[in-house]
Amino acid sequence: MECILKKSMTILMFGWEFPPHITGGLGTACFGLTKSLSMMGVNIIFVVPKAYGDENNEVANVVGADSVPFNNIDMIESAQKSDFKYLSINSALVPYLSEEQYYQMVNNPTTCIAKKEDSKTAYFSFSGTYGPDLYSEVERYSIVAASIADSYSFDAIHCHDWLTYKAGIEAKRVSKKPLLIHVHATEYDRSGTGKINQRIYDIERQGMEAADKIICVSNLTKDIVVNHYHQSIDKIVVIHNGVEKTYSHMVNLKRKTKKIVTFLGRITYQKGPEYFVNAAYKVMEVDKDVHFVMVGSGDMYNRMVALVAKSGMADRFHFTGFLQQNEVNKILSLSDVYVMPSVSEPFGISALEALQFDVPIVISRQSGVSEVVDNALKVDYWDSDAMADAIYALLHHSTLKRTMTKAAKKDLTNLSWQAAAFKLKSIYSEVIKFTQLDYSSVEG
Amino acid sequence: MNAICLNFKVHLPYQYKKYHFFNIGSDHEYVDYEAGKHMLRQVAQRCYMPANAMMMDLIEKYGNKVSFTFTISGTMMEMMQIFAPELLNSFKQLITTGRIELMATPYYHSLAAIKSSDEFKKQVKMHQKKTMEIFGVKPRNFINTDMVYADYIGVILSEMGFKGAVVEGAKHVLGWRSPNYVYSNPIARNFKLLFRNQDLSDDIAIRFSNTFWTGYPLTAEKFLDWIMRDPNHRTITIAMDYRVLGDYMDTSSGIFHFFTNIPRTVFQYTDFQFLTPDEIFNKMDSVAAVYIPNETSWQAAERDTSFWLGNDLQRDFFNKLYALEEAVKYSNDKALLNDWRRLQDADYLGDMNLRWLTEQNISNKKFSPYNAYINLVNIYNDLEMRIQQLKFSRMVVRKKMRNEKSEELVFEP
Repeated sequence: MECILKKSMTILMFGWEFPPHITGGLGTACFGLTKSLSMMGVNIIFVVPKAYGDENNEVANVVGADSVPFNNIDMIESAQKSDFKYLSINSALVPYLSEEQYYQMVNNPTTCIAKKEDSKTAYFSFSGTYGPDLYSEVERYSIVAASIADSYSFDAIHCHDWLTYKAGIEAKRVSKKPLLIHVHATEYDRSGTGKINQRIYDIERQGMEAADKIICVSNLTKDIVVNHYHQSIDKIVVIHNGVEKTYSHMVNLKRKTKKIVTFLGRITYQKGPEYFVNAAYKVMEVDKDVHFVMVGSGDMYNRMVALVAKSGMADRFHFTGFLQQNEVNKILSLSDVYVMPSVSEPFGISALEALQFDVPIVISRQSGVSEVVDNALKVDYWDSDAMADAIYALLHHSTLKRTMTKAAKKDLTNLSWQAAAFKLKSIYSEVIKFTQLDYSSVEG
Repeated sequence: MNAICLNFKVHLPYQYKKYHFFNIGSDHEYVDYEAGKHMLRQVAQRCYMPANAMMMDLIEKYGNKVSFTFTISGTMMEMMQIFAPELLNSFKQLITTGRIELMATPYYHSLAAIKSSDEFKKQVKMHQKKTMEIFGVKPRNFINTDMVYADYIGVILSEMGFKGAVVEGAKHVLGWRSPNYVYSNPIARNFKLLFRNQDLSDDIAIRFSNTFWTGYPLTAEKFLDWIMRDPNHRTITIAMDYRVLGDYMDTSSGIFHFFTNIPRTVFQYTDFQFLTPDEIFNKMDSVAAVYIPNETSWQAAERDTSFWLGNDLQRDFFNKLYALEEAVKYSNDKALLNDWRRLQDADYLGDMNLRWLTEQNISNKKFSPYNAYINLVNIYNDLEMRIQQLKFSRMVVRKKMRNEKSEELVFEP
C-alpha cells in the first residue's frame, strides 16, 4: 500500500489550452496546477488539441493531439460519417470566442483529416480554439485520446472542463485507469438557468457519471454539480484555485490623475457586464471624474457599447476589446478599483490578480473567489446600488482602500497553487490506491 | 464585611439605514427607526422583560438584602420611551423598590472620554438629567462606556462630583493586586474604584453555556465555592451586559435559574451582602491607589481600546467625527448636534473591527466591517455638508444684514 504512495505517479491530463496560448482562466489554472504538481514530483502528460511547440515543457510533457498518429481507419471513417462534421452552433454558448476568432473560423473551416499519402497513418487537425466546429473537435479529440491512452503509461486521467470530458471517458475505457474531472465551470454558469445547451449539459453529465472523483473549484460550483447534475456529495472535492505570483512592480505605470474602475472578462451574460454599466452610471451621476474601463470581448459587446452610448457616458466609459496578459497587467496597475459583477462565477482568478496589483476588489457574492477572500467588498450581482456604493467608497476613502489592500495580502498568501496541488496529489493517491484494490479484487 | 456587587449594562444602539453615496446632500434622515424598534422589542422579549421580572421576584423575596446596579444609556432611555414604554415601566418599578442603583454613563454610549473632555462632561450631565427626569434619581457613581477608564478620566469625574467608578479589573494594571478591594485614583485620592472581577464575570457572561468548558455546568453553589476559594474576598464585582440573561445565553441554558439561586446560596452559606457601588464606597475605605495611565476596558482579550480603535478605518472615522466638534457646537443647530452625537456610539466603531471578517458566529452573514465603515462615512459626509451649507447660509444672512444696514444708513437723513 505504501509503495503506491511513495512511487512517483504519472497523470494523463486533458486540457484545451496551455500557456502561452490561452484565452481565459482555464489555461491559467491548468498551468498553475501542473507547475506545482511537477514540483511535487508528479509526472504529467498534458494533452492539448493543438501544440504550437513553444509551450513550457518544463512543467509537463505537452502533447498535441494533432501530432498523434492513427492506424484505425474504421474509426476515422466513422468519424467522418457521423455528426462531427461541420456543425454551426450558436457562438454565445461557446466559451472564450472572440469576434476575430469567429470570423477566422467561419472563413477558414478546418480540414478534418490530413492523410499522409505514403503510409496508412493519419492525423487529425485541430484548431485548439473555441470555434463553431467545436463539437466535432471534441469528438475527434476523444478518438485521439483513446490512441494516446494506448501508447502512454500513466496512473490516472485528469480532465479539465467539458471539452475534454469525452476524451477522458475514452481514455478511461481504453486504459481502465481512474478518471478525475475538474469542473472549472458548468453550463449553468455560462448561460444562466433556463436556457442551457442540452448537448453540452449531456457531455458534462456523462463526464461526471464516468468520473471516479469530481473536483470543483468552489463550493458554489459544488452546489451546482449536486443540484443540477445530481452527483453524490461523496464524489465531490472542492479545491480552490490559487494565483501565480506576478511581479507587479515590474509594470509600474502610476503616472495618472484620473480614477479608473476596471471590469475584466468576457462580455457575456455570465460575467454580468450590464450590472457594471448600471453601477458606473450611478457613480458618474455624483462623480464625473471617474473613468470606467471594460476589458474583453464577447457576444454582449455591441449591446454594452449601445447601452453606454445611450446613457451618455461614452466619453468616460472605455472598451478595449480582448487584451493580452501584459496589457491586462498594465491596465490593472493603472486601476483604482476592480469590479467583478459575475452572475455565476465558479472561481474568478482575475480578482486575485487584481489584488496582486494592490487594486481593491468589488466582487459578486455569486462567485467562488468570495468564499476565500475576506478582504473584498461583496455585493449581490443584481444590486447595482450596493455595487455603486462600494465603488464610490473605494474611490473616495483612501483609508478604506489602504486597509483593504493591506489586509488582502493575507488572503493571497493562503491561496497558492502549491496548496491546491498538494490537495490534488493526495486525491490522486487516494483514487489510484482505490482503483488498484478494486481491479485486483476483480481479477483475484 | 464582605460584599457582592452585581452590575448590568443596558444599552442598544440606534440602527442606521443603508445610506447610499448618492443620498449625500439630499437625505438627512439616517436612522432606521423601524429596525431599531424591532431589535429593541426582540431583545426586550427575550431578555429585558423576563430578567426584570426575575429581579423583581428576588427583591420581593429577600427585601433589602439584595441589590443590583444598572447602567442605562441615554440612547436606550430614549428608545424605550418611544418604542417600549412597558419596558421602561418595568425598570421604573424596579427602581422604586430602592434596591437598584443607577450609574451615570455618557448619554450616547460614546468614547468621548478619551477624545474630548468637554464633550464627555456634557454627555455625562445630559445622562444625569435624563435619569432624573425619567427615574427621579441622580446617579452619584460612574461606569463608562464598556468600562473605558484611565487616571485622567477619574480626575475629570472627581471634579464633576462623582464618588467613584466601576472599572475593568485588567490584569495588566492590577498586576499582583486582587480586584476584590476598593482602590482609589492616584491623583484624585478620594475618587474610589471598584474593579470588575474579570474571571468570575466572564465565567457567567462568556463561558456559562459552553459545554466544552471544564466548569460546565455552572451552578450557584459551584460559583460561590469559587468566590470563597479566593482569600481576598472583600468586594466581588460582577459586571456584564444585561443581554447575557436570555439573549446571549438562551433561557434554555439555565441562566435565569442560576441567577435566581445565587442569593439563596449566598445567604445560606456565607456572610456576603449584596451591595451597590454607592453603599460600598460609603462603607469601605480604599486600600491603595492604582495607577492606570492608559485606557482599559472590558472589551476583547486586550482589555484596552483596540476593539474600537485598533485599525485604520476605526481611527479614521473616530478622528474625523471629533474633528467636527467645534463646528457642530458653533452651529447651534439642535438636529445637527443630535445627529453628530448619535454617531459617537462606540458600537458603530466596534462594527468596523476586522475580526468580524474571520469570526464565524455572526448572525448576519452579509455583515462586513468594510460596509459598516462605508455606510457611516457616507452619513458623516452628509453631516459635514450640512455644516458647510449652514455656514454658507449664515454668511449670506450676515451679508444681507450688513447690506440692509448700509441701505438704512443711506436713507437716514
